[in-house]
Amino acid sequence: MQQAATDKNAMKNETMVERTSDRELTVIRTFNAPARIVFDAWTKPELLKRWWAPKSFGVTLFECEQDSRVGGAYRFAFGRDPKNPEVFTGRYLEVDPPSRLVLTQLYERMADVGDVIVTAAFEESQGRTRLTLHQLFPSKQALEGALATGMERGMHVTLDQLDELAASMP
Amino acid sequence: MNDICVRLRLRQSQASQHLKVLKDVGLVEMEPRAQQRLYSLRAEPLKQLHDWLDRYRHIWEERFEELDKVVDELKRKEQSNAAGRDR
Repeated sequence: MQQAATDKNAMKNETMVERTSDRELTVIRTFNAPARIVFDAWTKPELLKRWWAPKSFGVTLFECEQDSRVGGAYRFAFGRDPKNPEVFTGRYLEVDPPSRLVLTQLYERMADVGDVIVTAAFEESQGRTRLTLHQLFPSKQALEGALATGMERGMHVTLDQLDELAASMP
Repeated sequence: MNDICVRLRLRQSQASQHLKVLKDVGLVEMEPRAQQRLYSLRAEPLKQLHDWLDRYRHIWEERFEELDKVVDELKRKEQSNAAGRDR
């Protein structure tokens, strides 16, 4: 038992990313906490604010509104310049604490792509929680468009800007 | 085309179908030459996808490391509250 606890502390929880089909991306990660805690960190704005904007990209979350009820809306605005933020908006389709969250996600700068359906599944086992984040793009073209935009811009703009764009991807 | 069929031991019709899929997604290029069709591999899109997914993974990794801190703090709070109640 003692040994198991030591191993758990020493082990780094890996983040796995896979393109699971031509219109799906899946991210998997385990957290050393019960599902209710991880779920809260995803659905309470004051908590989400503390982790969602990747700091090494120099971006800040300016606005974070979440009405995490079925049909409730959310809006995240972030970036480097508060006057010209990257904005994500959407609605919660399913809210089933502490195990499941389904939401739509629209990236306003690429609104013509349409809604991405994001499903977050929180599976608890022995005090730890495995998160499976699944993103379904409206079409193969939408996912590829998102990939291609990142790549194409990368060739013309600085790495910094590319990183900001990549950071803004759903 | 012929070489591909021989190498993969596929009938021409099967090989054609596979090659069509690869051509449609831009992973091979086909060049007609006289009676032949010459196929060549375009690995660049695969590398691009790999690079992009890798960058994307880094973003989530960084977010999750911050999320670990939030979650740890909540867990400690919960434990100390529970200890407080037990007393």
